Amino acid sequence: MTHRILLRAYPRWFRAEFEADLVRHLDRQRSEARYRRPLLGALLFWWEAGTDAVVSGMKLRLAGGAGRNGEPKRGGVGTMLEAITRDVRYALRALARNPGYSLVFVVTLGLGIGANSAMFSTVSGTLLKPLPHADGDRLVYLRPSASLAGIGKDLFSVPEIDDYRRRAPLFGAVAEFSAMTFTMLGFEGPRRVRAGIVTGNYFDVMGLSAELGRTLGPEDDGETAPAVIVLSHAYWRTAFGGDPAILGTTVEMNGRTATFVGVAEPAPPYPERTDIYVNMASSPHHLEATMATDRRHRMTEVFARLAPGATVEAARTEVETITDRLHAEYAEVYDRGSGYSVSVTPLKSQLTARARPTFLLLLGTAFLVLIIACANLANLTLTRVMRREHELAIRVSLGGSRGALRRELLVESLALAGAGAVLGLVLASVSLDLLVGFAERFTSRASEIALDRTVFGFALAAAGAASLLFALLPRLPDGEGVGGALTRSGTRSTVGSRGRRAQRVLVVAQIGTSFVLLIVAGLMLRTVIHLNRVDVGFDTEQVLAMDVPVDFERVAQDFWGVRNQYLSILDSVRALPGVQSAALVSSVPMAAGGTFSMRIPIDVEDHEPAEGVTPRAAFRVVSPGYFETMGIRIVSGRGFTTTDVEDAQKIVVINESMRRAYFGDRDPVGRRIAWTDPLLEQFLGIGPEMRTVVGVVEDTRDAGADAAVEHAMYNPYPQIGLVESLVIRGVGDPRALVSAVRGVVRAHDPNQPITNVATLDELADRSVAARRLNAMLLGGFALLALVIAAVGVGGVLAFSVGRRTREFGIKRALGATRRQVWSGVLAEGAMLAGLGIALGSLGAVALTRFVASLLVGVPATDPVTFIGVGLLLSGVAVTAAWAPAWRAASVSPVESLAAE
Amino acid sequence: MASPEAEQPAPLTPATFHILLSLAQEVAHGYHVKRMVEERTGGAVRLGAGTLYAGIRRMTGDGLIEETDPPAGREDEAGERWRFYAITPKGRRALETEIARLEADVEAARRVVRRPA
Repeated sequence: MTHRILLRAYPRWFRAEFEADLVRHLDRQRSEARYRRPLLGALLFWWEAGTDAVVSGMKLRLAGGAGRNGEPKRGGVGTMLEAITRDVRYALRALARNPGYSLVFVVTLGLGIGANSAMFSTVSGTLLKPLPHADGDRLVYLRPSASLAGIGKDLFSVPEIDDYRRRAPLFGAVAEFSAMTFTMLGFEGPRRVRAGIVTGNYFDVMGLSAELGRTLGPEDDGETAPAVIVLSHAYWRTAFGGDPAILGTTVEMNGRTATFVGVAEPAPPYPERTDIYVNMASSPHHLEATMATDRRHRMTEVFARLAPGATVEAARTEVETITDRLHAEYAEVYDRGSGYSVSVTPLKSQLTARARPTFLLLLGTAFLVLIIACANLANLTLTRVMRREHELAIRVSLGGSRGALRRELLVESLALAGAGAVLGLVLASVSLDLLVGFAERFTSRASEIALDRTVFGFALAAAGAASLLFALLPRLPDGEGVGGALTRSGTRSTVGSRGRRAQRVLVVAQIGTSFVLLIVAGLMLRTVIHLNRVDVGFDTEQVLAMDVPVDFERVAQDFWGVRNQYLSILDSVRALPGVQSAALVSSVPMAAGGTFSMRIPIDVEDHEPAEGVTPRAAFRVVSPGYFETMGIRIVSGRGFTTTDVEDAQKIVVINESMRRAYFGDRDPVGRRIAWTDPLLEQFLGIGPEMRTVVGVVEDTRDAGADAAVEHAMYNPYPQIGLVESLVIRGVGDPRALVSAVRGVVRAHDPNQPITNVATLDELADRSVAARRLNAMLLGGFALLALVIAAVGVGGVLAFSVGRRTREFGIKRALGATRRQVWSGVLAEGAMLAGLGIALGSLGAVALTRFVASLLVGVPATDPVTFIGVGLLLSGVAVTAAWAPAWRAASVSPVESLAAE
Repeated sequence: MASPEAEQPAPLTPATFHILLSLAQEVAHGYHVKRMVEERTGGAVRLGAGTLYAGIRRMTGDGLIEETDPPAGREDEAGERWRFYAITPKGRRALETEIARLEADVEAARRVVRRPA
């Protein structure tokens, strides 16, 4: 009879008095309601009887049930305070008598709440908190992409931006931002800074104001405006120590004098770290005619503020329409086969797009750990109540009210959970710096992570909910149970059997949840192992890499001088002692943000591309010695030599996947390929003439171990192109070469900066570092869960064995061998584990889909992980059952019976 | 000397009033009381189980009603052993007082509403 659950709303003493009549009453009421209105009746009954039960139940509880036989109840604030003080005193005394229990309780809950507070503050600080930008919800970020061309992120040209600005009324205002690296002179040495070249309305659109001085305004737009610099808050702090005197001073930059006019308020930078914001007039490149007129000259990011009342959805549709129209109007500019489109994303989600899946996964994981911890503590509490059953039963039989016992339990668990919450918050605040460092790998909002009021509230709520659970879960001995509990010296009782069933359910839940956690951690671990095993194609040992950035102003003025200087630096580096080989390259593999990492359209001789497909290849420029230095094997033909100069035959080297795609099993050496992108000709003078393939090299993963191998074509330096990086293979530790190489570069040009110095090993390692850290965090959580679950299994079996001493004694007396008793207990443990693992597998199969996007080279239902984790968990469970099983087997039949 | 108002007992709650009224009619068990109330008021007053039994408990404690033996022939109604209640003399007095109070209220109200303009 489901409706009898309504009786639960009433306090026990009330139920004891009226239960029979209440049940009959509800039965009749329900059948009458159904008789009158067959369909609605049941609903009406539930509504009426339900609200009545809850309301009057509450009233009865508030009134209190001390007045047993109708005598007036005691009440009032005075007696309540008295009772509470008494309860607290009892509780503290009881806890002090049992320090082991208290310690385990506080530490377990502290770890659970700590992990959750930490992850919750991460999620709250990055994903939930409003942006620091004024009215930041109305900011959107526009990103063009050409999915079929392998361009996940393209940029806009100024004419394109003008089109969107003019044709999209849903954008209230549109700001431009382009990132370049500049060299500032005027300090002790040259300083490389990440500059954001922005329109005068940038700060206005972004809703950011000046912390100091001013931001930019419309007066800073235009060619004739003086060059001005607004410092980002972070750079002002780190580079100038937050010195306000910097304002008004000037630096030399790009051959101009620029003035520091202000410091922007702190805000997460996007799309990349930005040290300074400058106006267009500070960047000669932005003043060139092609910048303003060439539709293909794409180097600008676009941020827009939605007009009042406009939604992101509407803006998306509008942008889509405009994009389609532009493609029709300028068919010659847009490559139909490239899958070009423009996405409109709220800035807030754009800032955390990469972080979201990982952070939510970790929060979910931490939550599961908390659940496991709570299940274990519930178990511990049950055990404790069962141990104290004798005492509790005596107190009830001597007239102690069960309400008072319940209150005592509640006060105890509140005290413990409160301590756990404090410990958790301490753990979370201690780990906050680590956490920010971790989060920085995923989002620029990491600096906003803090333990704020929300986190405190969260920890308190978790502790409160946990203590309620622990106080309400155990059944207290009732009147009828008392006699039994007393006479049978606590060996068997109503509380015991129900409690033990609840304990088993809790253990199975723990094992199941741990299984899910271990599976997720296992999949992440397998991903990291897979990535470490992936052959990146380079011999990464003993190779040093660094960027020696090209000064484009100098290139424009003195192309040959710059080229000769790079070649001369290379020669001097090769001559250094300890250098085995060295080479120049357009961008260092596996380092973030290579300049020429785009896939560029090609034309392969005698190859007819399929309809709508533009063949493309990654564009790489390398000097002779590159393949030797990087340990890239030459599969057929030859690499580059010093004779491959400007006026010699135009040649290229391709990689194996490109050979497979275009030449199959035939030898490509001697065949011809051309770069066909007009932009290459325009900016680098690389025309669409045919270039002869002279060699094939093995595939490399230039974007890191987790990236796919792409078709690549290598061009010889100095025959074509520009190079910005140096790679050096040393005889021993490549780090030892750093200062000598610096000296060589300085000797050539004291103003030439050197950046991103790292060994290839470090770069390879860094490309998987975020995933590894992620796997380690998850692994840590899973390990915690495993330990807690093991303690749970062991604890429950130990307790149950302890209670069944008599049973084992009788079994032994009746002829059971030690081995039979021993394996019986082990089997009990194995059964709990098996049930937990079975349920956990179902959960894991259902849940791992959600982490699939974070896996590389491992399916979400990877059988190796599932079987491995299953074996691990059963192994741990059986091990945890070992000691209790041994104790059960050691029971001496004579002693156990004599003890009765 | 206390004011006349202070000597007046507090007005009965609707639940108390209706339970007393039903038991003044005949000895009855809880569900029967509920039915009598609904019939008398045409379904306008519906006593929920909790309200009803909490009321019965309180009124027993206050001595307004008392538990009694089932009336002859109804000890075992349809195999169910209900607890029956009867009104006490004190309960009857309280009911009379309440009716008088209600009448006075109604009288006062009529004087206001029917007074010619």
